[in-house]
Amino acid sequence: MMTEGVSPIKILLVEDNPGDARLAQEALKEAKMANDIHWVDDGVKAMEFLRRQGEYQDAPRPDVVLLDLNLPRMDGREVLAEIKTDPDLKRIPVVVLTVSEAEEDILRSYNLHANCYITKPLELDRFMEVVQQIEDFWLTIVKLPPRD
Amino acid sequence: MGSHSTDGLHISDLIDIEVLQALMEKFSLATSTPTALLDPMGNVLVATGWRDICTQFHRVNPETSKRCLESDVTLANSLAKGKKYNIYRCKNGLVDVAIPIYIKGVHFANLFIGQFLTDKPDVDFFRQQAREYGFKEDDYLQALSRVPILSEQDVRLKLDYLSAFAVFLAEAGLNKIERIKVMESLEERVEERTRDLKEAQATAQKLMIEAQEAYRQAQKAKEKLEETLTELERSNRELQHFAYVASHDLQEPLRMVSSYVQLLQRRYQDKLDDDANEFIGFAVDGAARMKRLIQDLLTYSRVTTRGGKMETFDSGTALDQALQNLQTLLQENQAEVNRGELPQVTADPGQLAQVFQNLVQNAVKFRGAETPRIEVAATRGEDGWVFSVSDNGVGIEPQYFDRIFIIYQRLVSKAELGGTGIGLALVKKIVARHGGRIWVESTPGKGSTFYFNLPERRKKP
Repeated sequence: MMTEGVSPIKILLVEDNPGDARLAQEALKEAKMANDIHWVDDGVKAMEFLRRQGEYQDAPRPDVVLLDLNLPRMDGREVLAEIKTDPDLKRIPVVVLTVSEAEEDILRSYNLHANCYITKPLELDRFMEVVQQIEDFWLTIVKLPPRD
Repeated sequence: MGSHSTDGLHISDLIDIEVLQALMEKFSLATSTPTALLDPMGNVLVATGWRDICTQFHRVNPETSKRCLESDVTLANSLAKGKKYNIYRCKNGLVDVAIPIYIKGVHFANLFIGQFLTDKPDVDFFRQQAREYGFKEDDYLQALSRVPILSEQDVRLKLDYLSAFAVFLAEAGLNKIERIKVMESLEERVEERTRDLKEAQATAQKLMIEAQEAYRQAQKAKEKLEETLTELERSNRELQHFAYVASHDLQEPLRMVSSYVQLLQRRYQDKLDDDANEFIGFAVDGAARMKRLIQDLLTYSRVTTRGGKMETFDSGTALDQALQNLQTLLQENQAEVNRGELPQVTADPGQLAQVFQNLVQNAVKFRGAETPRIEVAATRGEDGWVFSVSDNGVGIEPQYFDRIFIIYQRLVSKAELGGTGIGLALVKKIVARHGGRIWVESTPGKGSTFYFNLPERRKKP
């Protein structure tokens, strides 16, 4: 499905567990669409990456953020809140990875405007399905009016 | 009071003998009549106006004195036999009269008047007697002449007077004694009562101390029990928390194992040899089973820690939910599920659905050769509803009726049926959370019926 001339999807993965991060990367390797994945392991680094600060001066602007909620230093809820209140960043779609459906319900009640919630999968197969979902989601996004 | 009040009393207890003596002496002087009062044993208590003929002659000479005594005894004996009045001529030639004195029916004494004559004396008889016993004749006859001659009428009057007087005195004495006795017995009774009261008071005191001690002990036991209960509740809470945390925290490393083994399988399936594929297969399978165990354990520990709200709803909807979750299993086995009329209940809807799901699932899993037929019904019991889930499956031997509800106790091997041994334990825990109990009736080879009740919830005021 990789289309000539279309740049790969730039994904920022915010995940503190290296095992989960690697798994996500591995799953995305099998994705049909070309993707360019960047991984940071805490919320502070995520915000620096998004604002191109510190060591992330040359960071690309991600097309989508995969955000884990339980993060050191600055947790996922704060990251989400900051992205969604920043006029520069608020249009970037955020996919929240939650550990339970209950947590997802609680998050919805915070009304933090995540674009998508995905309960963390246990099986590799489920993880592949999630990647599929992200791709579908992306395809929907690209059909939207062109980005700034 | 009858004779009882006179028990052990002597006439001298009733009458002041000295006073009587003085009175009777005056009587003797006034009437020239000798008197005597003897107790029933013959002891002389009062003697007045005795004639010289007796005191100086008859009762001095041993022979005549012996006769006097014989006379006294004869007279007393005849009175003792109940004779009321007795005139007796003594062997020394004089006359004695005696009457018994009865006080309240008891013979207390004999009253005598005597040493008199009823006719002119036979002087020859006395002369003869003087000679016989060596009395000085002149003196003796002189003494005889001083013996009064009394008519029988006279004697009777005197005797009646004296006896009435003696009885009066004695009765007065007896009354006094009785009063004293009453007083004494009253005092005794008062003392006795006081003693009893003190004893009762002491007993009460002792009882109170014992009661206080018992109360203290009970209080201590209660405190101990409360402590134990608090401790038990705490350890139970801790255990539940531990089960929850353990099963929750186990999920993350397990996810790593499971995911990466699957990734290995996915990427290297065709690049390794058959042994490697088999090893990976066992690892994937083990991880999958462990995942189910942990999820079940989490579910089990969440029954109480994460139980939902009690709601009033149609229990049929809980069964609908359960059957929907089991759709694939039911279709694969072509199972037939029938239901009776299911009532409105107050329960945790999710948990009730879980109960139905586990029971129906078991009914299908433990099916016999025939098409599984399952019947879900409810009847109104004494305390709330009794639900039943019956099947036509393999049934259960009676000795396992209790064991099947214990966590991780399975009757079949892993290879036969892929359960985690938690299904019925979970059901039991959910039913217990609702205040009910679960039990089973079964005939091996014919089927089983699981019953559980949901007691009526008392509305909070």
